[in-house]
Amino acid sequence: MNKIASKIRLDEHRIICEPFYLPLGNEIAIASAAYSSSLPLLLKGPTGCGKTRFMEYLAWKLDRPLVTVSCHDDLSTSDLVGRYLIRSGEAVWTDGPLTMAVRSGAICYLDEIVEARKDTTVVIHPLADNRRELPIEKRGELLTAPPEFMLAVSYNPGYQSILKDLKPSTRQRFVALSFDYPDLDREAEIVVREGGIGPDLATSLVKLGRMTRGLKESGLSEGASTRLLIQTGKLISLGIPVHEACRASITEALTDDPELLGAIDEMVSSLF
Amino acid sequence: MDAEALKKLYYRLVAPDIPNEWDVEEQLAAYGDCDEATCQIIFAQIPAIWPVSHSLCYNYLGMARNALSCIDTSQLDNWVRGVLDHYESGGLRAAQTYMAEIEANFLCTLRGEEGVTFAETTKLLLPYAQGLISPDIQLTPGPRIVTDTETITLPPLIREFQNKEDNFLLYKLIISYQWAFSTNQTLTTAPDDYRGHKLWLSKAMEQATAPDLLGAIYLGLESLRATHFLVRELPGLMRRCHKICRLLQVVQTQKSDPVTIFFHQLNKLILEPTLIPQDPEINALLTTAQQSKSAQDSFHQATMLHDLFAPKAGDHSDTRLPLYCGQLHLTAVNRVRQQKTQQLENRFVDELASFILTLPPGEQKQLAEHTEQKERISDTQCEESDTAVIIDQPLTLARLEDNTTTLFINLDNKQIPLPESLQERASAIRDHLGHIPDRYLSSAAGRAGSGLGRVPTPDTHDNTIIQAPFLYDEWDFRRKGFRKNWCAVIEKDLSPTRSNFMATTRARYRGQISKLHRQFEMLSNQERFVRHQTDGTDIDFDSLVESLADSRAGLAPSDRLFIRLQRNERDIAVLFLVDLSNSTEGWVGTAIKEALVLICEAMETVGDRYGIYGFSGMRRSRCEIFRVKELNEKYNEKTQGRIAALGPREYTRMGPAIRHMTHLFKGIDARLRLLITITDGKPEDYDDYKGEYAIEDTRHALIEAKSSGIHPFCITIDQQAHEYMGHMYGKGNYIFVNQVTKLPARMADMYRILTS
Repeated sequence: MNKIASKIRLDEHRIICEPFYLPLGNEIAIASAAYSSSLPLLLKGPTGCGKTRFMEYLAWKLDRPLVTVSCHDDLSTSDLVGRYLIRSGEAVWTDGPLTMAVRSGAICYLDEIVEARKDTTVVIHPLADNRRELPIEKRGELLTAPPEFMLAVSYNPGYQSILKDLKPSTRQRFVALSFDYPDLDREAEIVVREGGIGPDLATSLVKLGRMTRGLKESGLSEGASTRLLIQTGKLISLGIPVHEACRASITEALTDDPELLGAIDEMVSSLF
Repeated sequence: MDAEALKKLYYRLVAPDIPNEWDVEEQLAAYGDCDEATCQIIFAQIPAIWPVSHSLCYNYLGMARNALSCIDTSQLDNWVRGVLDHYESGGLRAAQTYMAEIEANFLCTLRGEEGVTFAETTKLLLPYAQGLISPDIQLTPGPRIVTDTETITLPPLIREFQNKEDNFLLYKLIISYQWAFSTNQTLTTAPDDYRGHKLWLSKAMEQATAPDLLGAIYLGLESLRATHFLVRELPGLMRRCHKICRLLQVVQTQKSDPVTIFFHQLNKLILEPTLIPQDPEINALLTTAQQSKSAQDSFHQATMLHDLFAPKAGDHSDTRLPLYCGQLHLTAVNRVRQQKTQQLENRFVDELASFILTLPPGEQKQLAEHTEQKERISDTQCEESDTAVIIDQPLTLARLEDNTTTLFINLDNKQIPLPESLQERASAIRDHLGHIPDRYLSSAAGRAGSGLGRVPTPDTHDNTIIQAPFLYDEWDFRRKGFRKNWCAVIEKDLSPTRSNFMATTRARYRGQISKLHRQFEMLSNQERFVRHQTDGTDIDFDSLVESLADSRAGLAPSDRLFIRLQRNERDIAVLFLVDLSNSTEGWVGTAIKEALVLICEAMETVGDRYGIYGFSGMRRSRCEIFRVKELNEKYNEKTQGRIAALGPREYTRMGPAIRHMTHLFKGIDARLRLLITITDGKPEDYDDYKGEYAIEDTRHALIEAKSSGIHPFCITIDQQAHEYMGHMYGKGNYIFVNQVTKLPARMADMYRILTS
């Protein structure tokens, strides 16, 4: 019963259509090699540069379901491993997303791992080394991951405070792939494809994105990501005027600081 | 008003100063026929000006009557504020100019025909420039629009157009042109094979018969290229600038010399690139110029035009370009280039020397021998040598279109590849100079040979830079405005002393300390499980059993079946700011130090982040902050030694110290940010920072701190504290400790109450 339910739930995580992903280097080959050697994967890079999309593409390519968990500071071990729930007066065990992925050999992707509490991340340690085991203490069970299972985590080294860094004991278990924003032409190609706008407009949007990325010294914690540019493209393609689309999905999304808002507005008015 | 009454009034306003009687009489002579009401209005400003500068005050008296002939008495306040702002930013001369040109500087603004000043736009322009050009670019006001590639000098005021937006647009256009110049390598262009240290452009210009003319033509052609570049890259800006470019359109000149005519046409073309020059000859010249694809092309064209026009150029030829194109300042560009070269060389050679030291001794020796041999060969002017050289080799793994090169040290047919960090440094040098000079290897080998290599640490060079003081504004309540960049705060390290202070304090307060530990331990419990919750992370089995039993027994079962982790996260950051003024000498100082020891013990138990800083100083130019313990520093022997080293120093200029703490808090992420000041008296300094002025400035500094999300709190032992503390800190934000001996205990108690 439990297995059938978990299969049904897992099928929802299967990626049927090929997601659009434009490789920037050798990352697909490295990730595939890591998968075949049963090594866990660590993706790092700024927000909205394509880490999650890469995982979707990888899951599609490897034909495995992708279970994504967005980590936050209230994420407990039970949220990952599972817990007892009361059903008709009985205490019934329910697998958490990590256990579910391990049992059925899916890819478990823990997004923004540093946001989770440190005691929570320790649970992945035996799973991330050659033991590939997940102890479920409450049930006295020790799950061994099948070869199809893959653990992937991501984090953004840019914006978190020193308090939120990955412990060396955690990070040293992973094959690490570093992501960054693509070069101008390729980023424009992505914005054209995903945002549904013309190449000239996409190039201008990408130029704007790159200008905002130069504002780090001026107090902007992160410049406009490729994701923001795609969102802007989508708004424009639906008929929102360019300036308004940029204001809504780039300028206001990036900062509340009136001077930086003004400076980004000036960039927009220069470019369009 | 009669002279005696005027003098009396004057002396009363500038008290306690007693200025020279002759000077005063001379200044007041002009007011003999002035009615009393006007005198009172004019003289009412003296208390605001006199403490800033006596000369300025005399100048003000000289000009104020004249000013009142064109401005209303109600505007005098504003005008004086303007005068003081100009004095502080540009000195007496700037203030005099401001006062003299009342029409242009004050009334125009009042009428709305204002220009835009650099100061008011820089907050917007700087991030714009940094986003566009480079994150390192800086802006500064100055008389000419020039750049040295690191800083762009912009006019302090632009009042070309009536409309404020248009004037701002011109600022933006100037920066955008500088971006185009930077991207097009207008200032840094050089032929591929150029290997010189000097800026190529400077060198090439020197060879011309009329370097200024060549420079003007070159900049003109490059501006034309920049215009096309901007139309392509920033169409929005160029569309909006179309109107102001038309307004900037050059008037037809009366001069008829060919150079002036050429520049006139060139200007028109820069302002409106779609125009076709009427003069067919000039049209032909400029059409070729418009086709230039690179700065080198433009320079080639400029040289040809220079050769053509140099013989015809007269002394009065007008070679001006549109304002926003700026001017060439190659000496400055060259200076920055040389500095950068030197910096890159030093870092590269330093790191290379360290790398050589990590090589096996045999290779090191060989390298040293080869280097010496090479030096001998080069001494004898021999060009041929197959000794150690750094050679550029194509990266074999790189993509075909990628022209990245990798570096090896070639030693007797053996290639020792350089580590990645050195490759990066080398590529930076190649980007900058176009090649890696051979002598870098020999100097590195030489340095390594003399044992001068060192393990590279990040930013080692920056450590040698003496820390610049932090400048803070000071609030002047009399003029209801800030004195700009008025106080210079210097952060200093306090060297720890060895003494038995810590041991005796701990012994004396043994009982107190253990009580504090107990009290604060209770505060520190950050997480605990709470049972019987309606929702939670886990099942509370006790409750469940009870509930099932209840259910079986026919009672209504409880729905509180969960256990939850209650997070009691303190996340507090606190800075203690300790008054080190002279008056704390003796038992007051000791009590403060003992209080610090106790609070440190308590803080270590509770685990809150805390920092301790002392402050003192003399005059606005030397406000000193002493680091006792930084926020993330551990409480150890060193910090204990620094607490012991605290001692009375000079004065209590509290405003800048609080502003500096606010500045330090900016980089700290905490739920509660607390600033606790420990003081023994009113804020006071050697100069005019006393009384109401000092209290008002401190109050303002605290308001600024509060608006940045900091909770200020004060512990004082001043008997008169109630008179002014409430005004400065706000009711309830300070405590008064009447017995100094109780300070240590009260301080820890107070902290516990504040944060629990």
